[in-house]
Parts: sequence; structure tokens; C-alpha cells
Amino acid sequence: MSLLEVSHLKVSYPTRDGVIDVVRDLSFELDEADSLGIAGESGSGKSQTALAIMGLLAANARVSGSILLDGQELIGESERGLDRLRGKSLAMVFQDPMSALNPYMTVGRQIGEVLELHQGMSADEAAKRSCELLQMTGIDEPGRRSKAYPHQFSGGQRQRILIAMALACAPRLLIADEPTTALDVTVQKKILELLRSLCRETGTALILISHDLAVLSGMCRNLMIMYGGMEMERGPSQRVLLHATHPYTAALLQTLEDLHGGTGPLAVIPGEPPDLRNPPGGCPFNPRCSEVLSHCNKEIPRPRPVRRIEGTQSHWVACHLEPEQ
Amino acid sequence: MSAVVLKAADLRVSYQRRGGSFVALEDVGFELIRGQTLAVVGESGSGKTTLAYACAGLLTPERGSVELLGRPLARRRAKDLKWQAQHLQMVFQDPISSLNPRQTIAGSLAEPLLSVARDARPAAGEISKRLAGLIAQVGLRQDIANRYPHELSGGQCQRVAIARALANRPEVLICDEPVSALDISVQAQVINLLLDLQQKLGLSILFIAHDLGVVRRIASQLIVMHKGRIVERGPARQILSEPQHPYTQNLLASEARLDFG
Repeated sequence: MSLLEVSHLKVSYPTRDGVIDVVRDLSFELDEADSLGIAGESGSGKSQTALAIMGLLAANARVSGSILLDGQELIGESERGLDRLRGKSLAMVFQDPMSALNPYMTVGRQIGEVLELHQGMSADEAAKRSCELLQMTGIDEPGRRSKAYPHQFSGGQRQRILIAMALACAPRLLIADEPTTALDVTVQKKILELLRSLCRETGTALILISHDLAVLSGMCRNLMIMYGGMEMERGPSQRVLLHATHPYTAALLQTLEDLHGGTGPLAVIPGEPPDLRNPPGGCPFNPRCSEVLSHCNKEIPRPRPVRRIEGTQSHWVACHLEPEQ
Repeated sequence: MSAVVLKAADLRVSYQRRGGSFVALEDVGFELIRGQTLAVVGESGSGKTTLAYACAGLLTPERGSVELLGRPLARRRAKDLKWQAQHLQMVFQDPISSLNPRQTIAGSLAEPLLSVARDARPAAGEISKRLAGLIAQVGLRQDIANRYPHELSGGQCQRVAIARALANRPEVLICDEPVSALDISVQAQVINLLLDLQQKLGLSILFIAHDLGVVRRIASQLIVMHKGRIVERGPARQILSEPQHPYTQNLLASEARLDFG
């Protein structure tokens, strides 16, 4: 059985301009200790998917479908039930580490709180363990630094502290939403390496969300490309890169390759990301697609396997184009 | 006129803060040649934005000088500021906050046209024609004119910001991370737009970035900054393929690349 099974997930928000669908019928699975990278541009629904799994959607969100973690349904779970899971079985690392930390609390206390709550540690035990966790994430002089406040750390160090906190109880699943977007590239590399090695040690499955396909391809075994609230393509990372089947994936890869070589103008995807208030009919990518067919703006393509691989690892694409054999 | 349009020499800028001062720029100088793009690359805190501000006259350096078209930047008289604004303009990172939210796009674009000396202003009947030209120049649809910034996407707002900067046909454009806040597919569009405008208008661009990928396409010359100092400079292509300074080497090695397995 998979660790995480998301099926027919829909998230929408009522607004003055009508109901906005931000996640539209999304299904995927993730195995224990496996990793999935979710790529997408703004408005693709990648962060909303993460928040739905964590039960952290805004109060006015409407959610339907199913999210099973170890067979337990998360949609409709009470706040109390979710509080028992969050921090213990499920954890999340956010993009902006400063706003994810409590500025009035020492970092040692913040990490300790998780341990006291979920593992029943005493304050002394928790303080000791917090120092070990800080050391594990590469913070020097953890004994002294655990008594410091968030503003006394650099951005990269703060993200290390959040990772220490998220992995304190060796959760089953960690979701990291753009964890390095606010950081410099040299720091980014170190944080990603830390994330990968710690997840491996604790046997934690990872969902990494990013707009950067290059980051995801080096970090995750599987890749899902989202657009307009839907899955466009999903499969083992290297397979998706080498055999990109959806025109959107192919165009994104072309832009990235262009940035690293060649001369003259860059290959671009014309047009703008879809307006969620007024999404195009059919496939959300059809107005920008270079290979659009006559029925692309009428029927929504359902994900279908390009190639079946054992277990949950098949390569899927949601496109009306017939894949080349 | 010499081919150097913007020249900075021996710049030093420091910020006062609790417990002493912080040196943001030390001994920094460069020459921007007409029609070329000079990129400044560095991480946060390297001083690249401070350098952009000093060159745009938005802050006064403690030491050193900035010359625009052979004239030292002066901040005293309104006349000097007007002259500078006509020849040098800036495009910022966050396109939405760089436009006035209570002004229509047409209003935002008309402002620079009317801010120049009286004899240089377009006649009343000509303004709408100039606006239409500006909007078309950056690849936007005309119906955008009566909309407000919040009704536009980030990419569209950045196009408006570029149109606004180009309204008075400046020689020099300073772009401070102009595509960092945009999605990748939109980044490529804006870079292409800048390349295209540069070719058509002969613009000289000082391009600030932390992203080497973007720089690879747009820059002819490159400066790498670290802790307020220039650690490496030269033709962009050469530095990107054979970096000499350890910091540049580290920067290039840290860049995430597509992993094909």
C-alpha cells in the first residue's frame, strides 16, 4: 500500500466573481520513503495541494476527494485529529523561514515544544534533543545557539532550524514548499543536500514543491508537472526529462536548456498562465500549446499511462496527443 | 561623444547600523559601453543593489563618482534630476509594487511623458498616440490602457514598467533583478523583450541578477561581486565557461542543473 493516496482532490474558493477552482481533480500516490517533486508556475495549484494534505487550507476553502495517509482519511478530519498528526506523522517546511518561526521564542524552545507535545519528553530531555537536532542540521555551537531568537540567524540557518523542527519526530511524510527559493544558490545547494540526507536517515517520504525543474530533477525520484490546477505529466524523474510527452513539459525543458546555452532569442511559451477566474475550456494549457488539436478546448484530457512501470511508478500524461510509440 | 555611457569609479558606500558601520561597496568601478549589457552578479548582501542605486542617483556614495554621458551625477537641482531621468531609467524587481495601484496603466505611462521640460513634452493631441506606441512596443494589447495594476499579471506589469522606463527614450536602463519574481515561461518572454528592445533602440543596460542562467543570455560583460567588492570581471562568456575566482567557481558549481540521470 502506498503511504499517501490522493484521489480526485478538488479545492475551490467562493469569491465575488464566482467559484474559483484551484485544484481540479488531482490524483497521485507516493510510496513510503519515496520522493515526489511537484513543479508548476504560480496558480498551478501546487501549494494548494500541499496545504490540502496538511489540512491547512483557508477556512473558506471547499475540498472534496480523498487524501489517505497510511489508510487514514485526512479530508474531513477534525482539527484535533490533525493536530495529533501534524508534527508527528506529517510535517511541512515553508518558503519563508522567518515568518514560519515564532519571533518571541528561542529556537531551542520551538523545537522542544514539538518533542514535548508528540513524544511526551520532559522539558530537559526536549532541550537536550533540540541541541542534537540543531547539530544534525549543521548549526555550530548548538548549546549556545539554541538559546538565540530567530532574528539572530541567517536565512539559511533559519531554514535549517525549520528542517530540524519538521524532522524532530521522524515523520512519515515531509512536504517542503519552495524551501530554498528565498535563499542564495550556494546556500540552496547545502540546504537541499541536508534535506535529502536527513529524509533518508529518518525514512521520511518527501514531497518537494518548486518552480525549478532543475532542483526537483536532482532531488526527487518522481516528478509531477502541474498547470492550471491539474496534473499534466507524472512519472520517474529521469524518464519524464528524457521522454517529456506533454507539450508543456517539453516547452519548459526547452526554455531551461536555452538558458544554459545557445544564442539569440530564447524559446518561449507564448501567452500568460491561465486566469483562474476565467479558465480556458478543456485542457488548461490549450491556448498556449503549440500542438493544439481541435477538441483540446472542449474535452479535459484524463491522465493516461504513456508506459506502465511496476507499482505506482508508471509514466502518465494528460494530453489528447497520441504519444509516439 | 565617447562610447562609455555610464562610468563608475572607486565607489564606496557604507550604512550606519547599531555597533558601527557596514561597508556595502568598496572600491567598485566599471564602464558601460553604448549598446552593451553589463551584468552584475552576486548573492544577497554582495552590494549589487546598492551599486544600482548609486548609479541611478538614488543614493550618494561616500567616495567615488558616477558619470552619465560624461556628466557627473548631481542631486542638488531639480534641473539635473530631470536631465538624469531623461537619460537613465530603472526597472525594479517587483513589477506590481513599482506601479501606482491607484493609477490606470495609461496614467502611469503618461506621467513620464509629461514630466520632462515643457518644450520636450508631446502636444496634447499626440499623447494618446505616444501611449499606444509604448504599449505596442512592449508587446501588450491596447485594451490594457484603462486597467489597473492589480488586474494584470506579474509579467504584464513588468512589461508596463519597461514601457514606462523607456517613455522618454533613455540611453541607459538599469534593471535590478527584473525577472526574478516571474515564472520561468514569463521570464523568457521578458528577456526576449529586453534583447529585442536593446537591438531596436540601441539601449545600454546595467543588469543586476543573482541568476547566472539569465545572465548567460543577456550579458556581454560581467562583474561578479562578493561582500561589496568586485571579485571577477570580464567578457560574460569567458567568465561563465572559465571562472577564475573561487567564489565565482562556487557560484557556478552551486547552480542546479537538470539531472538526466
